[in-house]
Amino acid sequence: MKQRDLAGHRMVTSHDGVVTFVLRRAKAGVHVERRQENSEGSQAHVASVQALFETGERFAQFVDMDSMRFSYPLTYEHLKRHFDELIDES
Amino acid sequence: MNSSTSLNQRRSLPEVVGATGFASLALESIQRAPKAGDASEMLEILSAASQIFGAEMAVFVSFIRDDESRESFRFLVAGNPAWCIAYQQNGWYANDAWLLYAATNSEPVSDAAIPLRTKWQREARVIATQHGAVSAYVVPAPASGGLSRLGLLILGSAQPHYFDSPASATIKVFARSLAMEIHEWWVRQIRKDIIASNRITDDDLQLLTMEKRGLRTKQIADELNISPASVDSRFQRLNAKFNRPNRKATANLAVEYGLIEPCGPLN
Repeated sequence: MKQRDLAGHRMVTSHDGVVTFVLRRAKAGVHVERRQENSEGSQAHVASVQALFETGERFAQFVDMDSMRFSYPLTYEHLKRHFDELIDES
Repeated sequence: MNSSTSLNQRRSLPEVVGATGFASLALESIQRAPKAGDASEMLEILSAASQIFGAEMAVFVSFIRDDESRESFRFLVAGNPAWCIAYQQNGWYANDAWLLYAATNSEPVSDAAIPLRTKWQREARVIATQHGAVSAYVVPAPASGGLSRLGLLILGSAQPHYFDSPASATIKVFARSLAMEIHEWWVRQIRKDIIASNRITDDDLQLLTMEKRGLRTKQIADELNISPASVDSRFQRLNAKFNRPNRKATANLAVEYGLIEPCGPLN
């Protein structure tokens, strides 16, 4: 699991690079981008989802829906910590 | 909240489009789209626009096929993003009825007009309903020039058959403009990101344009006044940057991402 603080961004990546989250403060909450790369045989799908979260509750629902949290518990733990810090600052 | 919210307290579509100020508010949101500084700002615009249209949520999907083996989906979600996670986890992607519709049509329609032909497509529709899009308006934003990339704006309503109304003719005009503005904005953002993250120079873009025009190594070398070996070396570096096996694939990818124009070969 890798973490990086870029200019105004927090980035959390799973150890194998399959899932990446980029978070940053926005005017109305926290802007979160979730990127995931899946491979099925010779086919690769790269999907990015970006959304604004005004509350921690909404973000918790989003994370609860994400089955990847079981594969990368540490990544999601750090993700939640970063989100909590950013939403407190906003 | 703001004036746009007051426009859509569970009103019908004819009431929404007939309200005083609807057109000017809708136009204002469309005009803001190209000026969005980043994705956060675009999400705010998308959220405001969906409220103006009387929708509870809006999703903009950008799809790009890098080549035969790699596809990219980018979702901007003004609403419940868990929908897109469910969608992604089920791997529906290009089998999705709305995306398939957008790949071959440019006409915005109510989702009721799009047939659900497979089990996956019906399951995807159920998931959309569960996440707030009981009815939806599907607005394609196609690219020109036969490119794989396409955009799709989805407006979702918690009201059944919300968009099945003659008033959707009014929404159509504004939603189509908004979809095209967001699509163009996003292609510009992707272009900017790729150029910055891969440190692509103007010289690189010139080289890729020449490849796309069908010029051979020697012709490129003559035109740039460098050696053929330098041309090959620069292409190898570019292929590595784009993770593509050859210069043709690299140039095609550059076109898909809007880095260079899809110009044809020289006569």
